[in-house]
Parts: sequence; C-alpha cells; structure tokens
Amino acid sequence: MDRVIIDSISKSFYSSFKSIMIGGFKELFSIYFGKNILKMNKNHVVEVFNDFSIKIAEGEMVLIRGENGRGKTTLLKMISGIIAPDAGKIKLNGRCFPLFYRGGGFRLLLSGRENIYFSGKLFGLSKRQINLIIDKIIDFSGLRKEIDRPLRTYSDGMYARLLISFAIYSGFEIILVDELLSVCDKEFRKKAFTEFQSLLENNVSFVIVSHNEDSIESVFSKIVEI
Amino acid sequence: MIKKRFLALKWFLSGFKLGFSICSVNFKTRYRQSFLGVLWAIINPLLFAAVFFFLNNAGVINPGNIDVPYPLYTFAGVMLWSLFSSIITKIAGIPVYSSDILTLVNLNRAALISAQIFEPLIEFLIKFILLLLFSIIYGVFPSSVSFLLFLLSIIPIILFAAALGFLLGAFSGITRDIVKALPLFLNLLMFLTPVVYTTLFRKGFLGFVSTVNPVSHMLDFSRNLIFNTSFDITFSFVISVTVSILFFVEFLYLFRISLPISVERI
Repeated sequence: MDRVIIDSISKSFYSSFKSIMIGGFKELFSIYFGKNILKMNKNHVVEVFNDFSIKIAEGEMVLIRGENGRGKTTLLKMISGIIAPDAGKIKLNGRCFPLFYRGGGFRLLLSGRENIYFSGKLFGLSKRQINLIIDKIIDFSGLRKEIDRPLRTYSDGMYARLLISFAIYSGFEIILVDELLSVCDKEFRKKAFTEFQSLLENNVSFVIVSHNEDSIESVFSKIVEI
Repeated sequence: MIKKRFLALKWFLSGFKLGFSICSVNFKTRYRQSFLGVLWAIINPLLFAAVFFFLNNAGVINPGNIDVPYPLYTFAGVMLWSLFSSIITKIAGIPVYSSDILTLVNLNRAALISAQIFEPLIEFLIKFILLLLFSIIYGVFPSSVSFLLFLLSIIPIILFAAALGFLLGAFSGITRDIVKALPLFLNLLMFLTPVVYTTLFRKGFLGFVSTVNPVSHMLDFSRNLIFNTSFDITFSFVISVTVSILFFVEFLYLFRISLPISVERI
C-alpha cells in the first residue's frame, strides 16, 4: 500500500511583499465570490514545483535531496497539509507527523514533560495514550534530568531530541523529517536511525529532506533529487 | 452558498475540545513568569474604572443620569468592553501571533479560534465575580434571574466581537496594517460606545454613533440586566443581535477560506 501519493503537484510563491499582499487579496476575493483563482503574474512568482509526482510505499524511507531554496520544506508542508499545492493532489494513507525545526507546537514556557502532553493533544492523542508512552519518550530523548525544566532552557539539539522521540513513540504511520537530525549530536542521530529502522519494519514510512545525508545513503530505499 | 456557511459553522464547533486545551495552556503560560499572575486579569479594568471614577468625582466628565453607583457602572462597562475588544484583538491576530503553530503543525485550525474566545471569557468570569463582590459592598443585590440573563446576554456580544475578529483576521495575515491599526480603532470605538457613560446621554454626533453602533445596545442591555435597572428588549437591541448572528456566520466563512492564504504568507 502507498502511504503517500503525490500526483502532479505544482506550487509557486510570490516573490515580493507587494505581490504577496495584492495576490493575497485577489486570491481571497476570488475564492469568496466563487470565481476561479486569479492567475498570478509570472513576473512576480517563483515556481517551486511543476508537475511533481512521487509515491511512497509503507515501510519505505525516502530521502529528498536538494540545495537550499529548492522547496524541500515546502514539499513536507504540503504532504503534512499545512499548505496546499496550487494544482495536483496529495493523498495520505495514515496519520502524519512533521518534524520541523522548533516544531511540534511546543511552547517555550512549558516544561519538556508538559510539552509532551500538549503536543500529544494537538496531534490527537488522549492523556491516557500519552501516559503509556511518556516514559519511553523521556528515556529515548536522554532528557530525564531536564524534562521538568522549561523548554526555553533547552538547546536546539535537546529540543530536537525531545521532538524526534515524541514522533517515534506516538504511533504515526508517516513521519516527515526536515533537516532536524543535523541539529542532534552524532550519537543521537545514530540511535534515531536505528529506531527508524525498526519503525520501517512496522510499516511506518519516512520522508527525510536534507542536503547532506550522503554518509547514510544506504538506509534510504529511494533518493529523489529536487 | 448556505452549505458552505453551514460547513464553516460545523468546522468552528469541531475545534472546541482542542481549543479548550490550547486555552488552558495559553492561560498557564501567560502568567507563568509573573509574580502577580492571574491578578493581572483584574488589575487593568480596576485601574481603568478607577481613572473614570476619579474623573467623575472631579467633575471632569458627566456620564449622564445613572441609577447605580458610578464605580459599579463603569466597572461593569469596562468588563463587558474588555470581553468585546479582547475577542476581536485575539481572533484578528491569529494569522500573525499563532504563526508558529499554523506553519509547523497541521492541527484543526478552528481550535485556535475557540481558544481565543475562551481566554477572554475566563478572564471575564473572574472579573464578574469581582463585580458581584463590589455590588454587595455598594448594597446593590442582583437577583438570580438577573445573573442568568446577564450571562446569556453576553452571547451576542461574543458573536459580534468574533465576527469583527474574523473580518479583520481574514486580512491580517495578508497585510500587517490590520494588527497595527486595530488598537487605535478599538480605543476610538470605546469612546464612541457607552462604556463609561450612559446611552441616555444622547447629544449630537456621539448620540448618532451610539444609536447606530450595535455594541452600544448590546452592552447597555447586559449592564441594565445585572443592575436590575431595566429589561427592555428594544427594537435596536433585536436588530443588533440579528446583525451579530449574520455577521458571525458570514465572516466565519471568510476567515476560514482566508487561513490557507494567510499561512502561505507568514
């Protein structure tokens, strides 16, 4: 079964503040009045995707590789439903957890433990479900001592470790990773990849975007250059 | 057309449960790094009411003829106004101030609206308890029926505030002018609404604005209820409530369709 089906998507963004604002008004009014969305002026747009398709099967780990600004994060945002493609379709078979830098809906004034409960609620987990996994998350993150400290006292690496650990144990079928692993230390990266491997055996699918995962190419079932 | 509005309403209601969780976290974090904590929720309206009380005592302002002690009257007005203005500000600011959650988590975005309504509502209830204490001190004893009707009467105020929040929020993600101009607009609107003076005080331009301003009728109706001064359901009040409901439904739809557009521009 395909976990992610991306079918001929296109995506463009406005390139200047003026066009962002004027284009925004045009789009809003054309949707409100039930007209076709007004075409953007080609001079003011940056095309990120044009007729892009890919299928990701269950238990597959795909690396999306490309230089900065090629739309890797945009692709993950489209897969997770945060933004929509201008054309084409994206279909998911399973629940999706996006791992973005400083993501997960974590709040800096909450402790690590409180954030696990809060993020769990945001992603549709009940308190009972979180109670069952919270110790595993804390242990895997290696943040047992720091878990009751406010998140604002965490480094980027600690934040990422907590977020990745949460994604691993929350039972999502699709996990999207946006360069987040590069923030973590080498030891945790290795540990996370080992855990990802066992999730693959349980039919979880991964989409990992990066511009420097060459050293571990062998773990990916597919590498897509964009 | 009606189906789309109905779906928007259904979407709005679907965010209540998660909205409550977000609201409780917002409430917790807002006062976490503060010694006075939740007291800040009552300090602002108390100081505001105190300023007008002293101005009134000094004879600087003339609020018109009122049947209850002026401090009580002003506090009740400020309390209702705070509810109204907070809801507008918070909903209109969703695309700007909730950008981290909107751009990094694919949650039910309706939950953000509920959270931004629940928060001012909880603060309102804290102030309401304070108002009851003040009422007892001043010897004004509202009946239990007044209590209940008063709490019901704030629903149209919430709907109208949310409607204006939706309208402004639909554009605030596209242009930042909205969130910059909003505090100015609300300050102006407050002085054109009978918050610290009575609607009976109708002269010239202020009287005209007071008549056409739906907030005036709804705010006055609620305040009269709590102080048992009148229970007149005027034609203006009925029109104001109808406008609130219609605007709420229409602008909720507009806000819903604007969110994906705003998220791409954050």
